[in-house]
Amino acid sequence: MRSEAGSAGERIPPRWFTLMRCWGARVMVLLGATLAAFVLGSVLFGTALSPVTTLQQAERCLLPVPSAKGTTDELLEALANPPEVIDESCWRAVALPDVSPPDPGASGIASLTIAWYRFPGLAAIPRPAGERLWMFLPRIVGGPAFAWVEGQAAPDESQRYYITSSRSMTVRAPGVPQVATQGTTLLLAIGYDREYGYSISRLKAGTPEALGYEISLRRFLREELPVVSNFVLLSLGALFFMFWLARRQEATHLLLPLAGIAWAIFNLRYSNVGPPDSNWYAWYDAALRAAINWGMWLIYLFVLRFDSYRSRTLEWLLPVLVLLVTAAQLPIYPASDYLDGVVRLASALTGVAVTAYITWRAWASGRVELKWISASLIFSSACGVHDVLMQGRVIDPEGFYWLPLSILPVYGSMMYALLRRYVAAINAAERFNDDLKRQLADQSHQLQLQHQRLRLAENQQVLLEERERLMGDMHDGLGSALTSTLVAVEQGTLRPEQIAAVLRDCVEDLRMVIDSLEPIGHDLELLLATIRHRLGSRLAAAGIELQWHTSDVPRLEWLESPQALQLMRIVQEILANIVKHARARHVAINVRHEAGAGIATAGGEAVVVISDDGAGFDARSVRAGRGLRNLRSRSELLGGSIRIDSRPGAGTRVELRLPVRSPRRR
Amino acid sequence: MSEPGAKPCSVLIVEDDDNFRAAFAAAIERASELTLLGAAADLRGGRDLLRRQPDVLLVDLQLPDGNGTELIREATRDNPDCDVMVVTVFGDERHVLQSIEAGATGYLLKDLPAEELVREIHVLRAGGSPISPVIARQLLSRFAVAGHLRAEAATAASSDDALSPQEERVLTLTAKGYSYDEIAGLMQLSRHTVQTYVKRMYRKLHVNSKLDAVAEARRRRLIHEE
Repeated sequence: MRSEAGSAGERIPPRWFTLMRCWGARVMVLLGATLAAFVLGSVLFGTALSPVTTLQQAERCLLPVPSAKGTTDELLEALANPPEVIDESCWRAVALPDVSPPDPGASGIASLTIAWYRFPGLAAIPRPAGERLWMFLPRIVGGPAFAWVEGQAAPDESQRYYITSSRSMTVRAPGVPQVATQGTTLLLAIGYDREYGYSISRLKAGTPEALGYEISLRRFLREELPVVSNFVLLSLGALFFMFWLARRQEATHLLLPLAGIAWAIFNLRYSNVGPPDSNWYAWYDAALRAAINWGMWLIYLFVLRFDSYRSRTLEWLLPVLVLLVTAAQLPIYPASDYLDGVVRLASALTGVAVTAYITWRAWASGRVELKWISASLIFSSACGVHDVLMQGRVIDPEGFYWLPLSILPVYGSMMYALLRRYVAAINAAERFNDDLKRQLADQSHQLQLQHQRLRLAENQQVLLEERERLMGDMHDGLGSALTSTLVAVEQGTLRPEQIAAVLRDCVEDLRMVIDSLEPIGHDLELLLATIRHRLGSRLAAAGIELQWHTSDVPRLEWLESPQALQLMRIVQEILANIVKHARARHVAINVRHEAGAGIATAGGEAVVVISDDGAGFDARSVRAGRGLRNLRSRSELLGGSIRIDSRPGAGTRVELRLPVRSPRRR
Repeated sequence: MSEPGAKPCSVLIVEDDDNFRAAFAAAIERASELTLLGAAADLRGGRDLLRRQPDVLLVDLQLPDGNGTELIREATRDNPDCDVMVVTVFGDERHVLQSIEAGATGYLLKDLPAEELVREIHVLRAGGSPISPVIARQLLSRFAVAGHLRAEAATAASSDDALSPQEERVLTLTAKGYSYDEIAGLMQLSRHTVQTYVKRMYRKLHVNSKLDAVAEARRRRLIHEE
């Protein structure tokens, strides 16, 4: 089935081929082919098998019925009481099928007639011994029909019938002959109203085995299949109704079952279902006739959901037509041909308008769903035309009505439209899910990369800060000391022991920097212990006795290397002052922890007290003031505070307070 | 100080800096209780001189032809009576502890004046060792870790490998900044006893690190054998 990809290049495959690729198309075609094959095969098979005699000749006698009211009850009564004898001169030879067209002029009371038929050809049919004989009329339309076989009344299954209803009739010859006989006699009476006419098909006679097949097939196709199709429609409708209940916002799901119901009501005319008594018949008939229009309107509304275009004309025209038909059908006006004609015209217009619109939209929009719906509607219309012609006895009345079955393709194509939507939605959801997953993976990957970059940057930042700090420190301390010493040495103004002292100071300073990098672990006591370890000898050399006391101090969370160095310098400064100026004999260093009161000092403070018994100093002196300010600013940089009490001759007490938690910044 | 009439203590110096080596050699010469066994400027020279079995080894970690730690290990292994002191510029815990684990029992700051140098050697020979607060803190954590590991591995820890409560207190007080004298006063001990505690602890650390190394090697060998 491939389109030829010519050697000259790729050919675009024909449209039908592309259409066939769609799964829905395949399903539809398959179903249609199966159905057609089934029907065709059964018909062919049936006709090939059966040795059935078809009578195409009969004799007819028309007898008018004197009636008072012109009702079917009178017809029935007349049929129930047949005349004893029919005048031979009344009989005419007629060809079957025999059709009496409607005669509009014959309205009124005197139009009831009974058509009598007898079939001389039946006598020519041999009837073998032991064989039953059945006689089958595929179609009788027009009114009640009775039959007498061998003089006896044959039972008729259907007690109810309607003027327009058609049915088949099976007449069974009574008894099984012991010996072979020649045929049998059959008398048929059909009551009808000449205004409406009637029709009768050919007569088929044969054994039950031969006829049974055709009888069953006809019954199935004519009576049972419409019921089955109605059942299918309503079941599927129920399913979609439940869908609608689950998702009220999708009105499409409701339109489908409603259209199905409308069509099912319309199909009732093909079944033997009817109102309980004839008073309701008019309303029943009105509903049946209106149903098809409601169905078309619902199909239109359904199609609207699949197209972006809305025809303004059709939007108001359709409801008007539908309401017109419904209103005109109501049995509240006197029956009138004119009204009837208008109604039929309006009905036809509704059907034509909707079909034409959908067909146009299907090809204009190119939407596959609409194409299928329009195709099935056209098919349905064709079936309708066929049925009308058959009903009007233009076509062989022995055929089948196709309209009841033609709803199935329409319904199927509407379901197909919805199913396409489902599949597309599920596909879209899966695609969306996949997209989302991919996006998520991308984003988390991005996030990871960002984290890595951030950490890297942080590390580099820390290293940078550390390096800057060290460099700054060395620049301030070692750098200036060494350069000034160098200058002094070159100028020859320093003695060797002075140079040694400067160099020793530099080594000490370097040691202090290294100490600040040692793993102190936020321990203030360890830090001060290290300071003491370094500077203790200097104090001893100055003849100062050091009294040392510490008690447990909790970790100072903020005490990192830079802060440690700062703290060391502060203490070094204080001790250097003592050694240089105080001329003290005793120094006491005391480290303790004070619990804080209140939220502001949560965690408490570490308190370092360095006191000496030296000379003290005057806080008002300029040099002292500068030194004090220096110490104060350095302490505050650490987030702590310093308090210095000194009086000349009364020693000095330095109290350094450091917060345990993060330092307060001022 | 040493007893009168005792054999003088022989000292070996391995130091690549000429100034320091010369200054130190001079200080040793001046001291009556010490004699200079030899002075080497590199690892190879140090190894040669080590065969003469000095009493005290002073070694610098940065030598031109290798790391002084090797020499410490060899000296400790071949000559258990030898006291090894590592010479360091800053006395930072990393170098000191590395040396102690290798077997050193003391450390010297490079810029010490000559008298202090000699005094430190005397103290070392007498059984004491120098220590700093940071090193004390490190020792505490090292022994604590070792103790935990031994407890987990359920090996029978001999009392020699773990710290005694006295020793632990010495370390804690050192880390708090107390001097030898103050610690001695607080613990009702002599200064000398406190210093011997420190030396004992250095030996224990060395033993521990050796044990750990052996255990590690054994484990590795086991894994190899598999």
